Amino acid sequence: MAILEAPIQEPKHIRNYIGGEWVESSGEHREVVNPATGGTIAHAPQSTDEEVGRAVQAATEAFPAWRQTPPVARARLLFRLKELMEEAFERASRIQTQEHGKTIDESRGESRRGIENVEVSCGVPSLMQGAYAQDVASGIDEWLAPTPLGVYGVIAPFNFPWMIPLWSAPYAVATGNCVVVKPSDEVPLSQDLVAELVEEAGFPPGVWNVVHGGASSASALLDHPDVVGITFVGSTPIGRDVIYKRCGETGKRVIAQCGAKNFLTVMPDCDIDRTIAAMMTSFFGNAGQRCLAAANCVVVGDDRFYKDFVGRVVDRTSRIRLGYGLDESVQMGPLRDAGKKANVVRYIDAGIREGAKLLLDGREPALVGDYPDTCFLGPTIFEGVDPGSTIGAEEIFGPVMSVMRAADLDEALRITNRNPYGNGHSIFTQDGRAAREFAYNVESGNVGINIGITAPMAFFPFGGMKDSFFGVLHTQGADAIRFFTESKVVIQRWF
Amino acid sequence: MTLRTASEGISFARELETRLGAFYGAIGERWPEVRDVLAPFAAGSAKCIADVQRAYYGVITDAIEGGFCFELEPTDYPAADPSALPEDVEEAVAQAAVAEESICRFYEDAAEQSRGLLADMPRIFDRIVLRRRAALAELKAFAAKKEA
Repeated sequence: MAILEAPIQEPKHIRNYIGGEWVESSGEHREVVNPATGGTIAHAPQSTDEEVGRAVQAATEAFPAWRQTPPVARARLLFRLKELMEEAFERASRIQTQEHGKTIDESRGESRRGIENVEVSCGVPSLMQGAYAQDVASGIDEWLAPTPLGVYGVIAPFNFPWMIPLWSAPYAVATGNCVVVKPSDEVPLSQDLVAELVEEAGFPPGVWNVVHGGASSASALLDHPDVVGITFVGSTPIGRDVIYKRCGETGKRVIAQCGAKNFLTVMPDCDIDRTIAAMMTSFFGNAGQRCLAAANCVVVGDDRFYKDFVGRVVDRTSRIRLGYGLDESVQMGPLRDAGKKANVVRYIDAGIREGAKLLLDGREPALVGDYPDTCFLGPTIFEGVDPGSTIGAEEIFGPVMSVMRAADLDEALRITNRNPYGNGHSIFTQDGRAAREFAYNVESGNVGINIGITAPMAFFPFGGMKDSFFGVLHTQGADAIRFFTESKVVIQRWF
Repeated sequence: MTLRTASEGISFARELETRLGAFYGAIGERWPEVRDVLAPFAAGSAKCIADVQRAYYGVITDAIEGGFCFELEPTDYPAADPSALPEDVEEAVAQAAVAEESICRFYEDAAEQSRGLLADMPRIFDRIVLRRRAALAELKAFAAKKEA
């Protein structure tokens, strides 16, 4: 199969998009490297606090007029944005592969998921409707008007450079707020493209801003007094100890979607072939770098089932093609950078040290094509993993499957619920009773029944519980509409 | 090399359809008397490409098994070769029918393997097979009439 043409041929010099203008940053510019080829694809700025402040100011100035723009007019701009995103679909997807490393199928999937959020936000004239009660007392009426609040900050991670900011930003602007999006400095190109499309769609200056940078830029957003709320997706230590805490201190609304350790329970009555196909995507898709990736596989069943099942999983996994995601035959790409690979390798070493049995070692992977192995790590499988051990309990964020056994569903649930995270647990079974039992009792914000990646559609909130989520409302769907609006209640009497 | 990913499968379908469409075009050029009869078949190939791509781009998400949905051998589905027309039109039409059969088999196998894994795609494959089988019957009837 041919390798698809890469849209970024020369390193792009990234600028901020502030107040409808493309603005040069005076901050240091860092190289952005394609993790598969090692080639430089961009130079992205570490924006200064002053530049972040300028973006917030532009958003603040745009807010009064934008708030007064009728929701139906705001929706029409979002429809236009959606149309432009559809036109740019393939370009956007290939850029994701270039900057992140994921396969082209994964990137297209990410593009679609992102666009779906813009689609849902186009329904804002209906979604934002309030409530009205006549005669709450004699001659007195009362109503609720969802009201935008001002400027929101969107702090995004590296693993879904296109989609994750779109879990928030379209809803924020649909409801009449203005946003400052800060993409991960490791993957700036996707949101740079989004900014281009926002400009082309014709959003008024200042409504949708994109400022590039790292932790310092995120801090500037967090501390800015004119920012009324933050959405964050990233690790639990940062989400809980920095984002959630600082938002509390500064009186901001917050959605902090954090880390995970997802358990996938396999019952002996599952459809084995389809379960294994789903597991490949769940454990190794996006090279394991997603908060909904399965990490622990809990197998219920006797020795015979266990041996047969695990043997087939190892066989299928060992045939995964690893390489550059623009090669259509590739099933798994590299990790985002060498540091992330080193971190996952440390976990593999810890697994060996702590006595788990290595069934498949990805540390010296064979690649499709001639690429530097700097960021590549093959799929790795351990069995006999103690759920309380390092690899059994901690988030690895890489292509490592830890297999463990449970005598029955109750034990599988106990093992799963003992873990502090609660993001996306799944069960594979053909037994409705077991499926119900699992869905009812598992402590997880997103639950899969014969689904490996429990990603909710855009019109549902993206769940998360326990150490995987800090806040009250979630991104996406009706939760996002509520997060981005204040429920203003008016009570009225005329004399 | 075995086709495994959705992207590979879609590209392969596009290649089969494009070649068959071009094959119909080449027959029509060489034997203008059958051009009008074969034109809808060529258009059918273009429509199939559009349908498959629309479905793929419409349903592909990061949550479905796009990387692990097929185990298909391309050599099992020989494509038409527009650059190698046979000597007579009857043989050319017969070769087109063989290529139509080959594409139908591809879609049937692709649908079977991806059922439950690729959301709406298997349904589109099934629908294309139904449409193509009807077209194939017409093509065979035309070929039989030609031979008679």
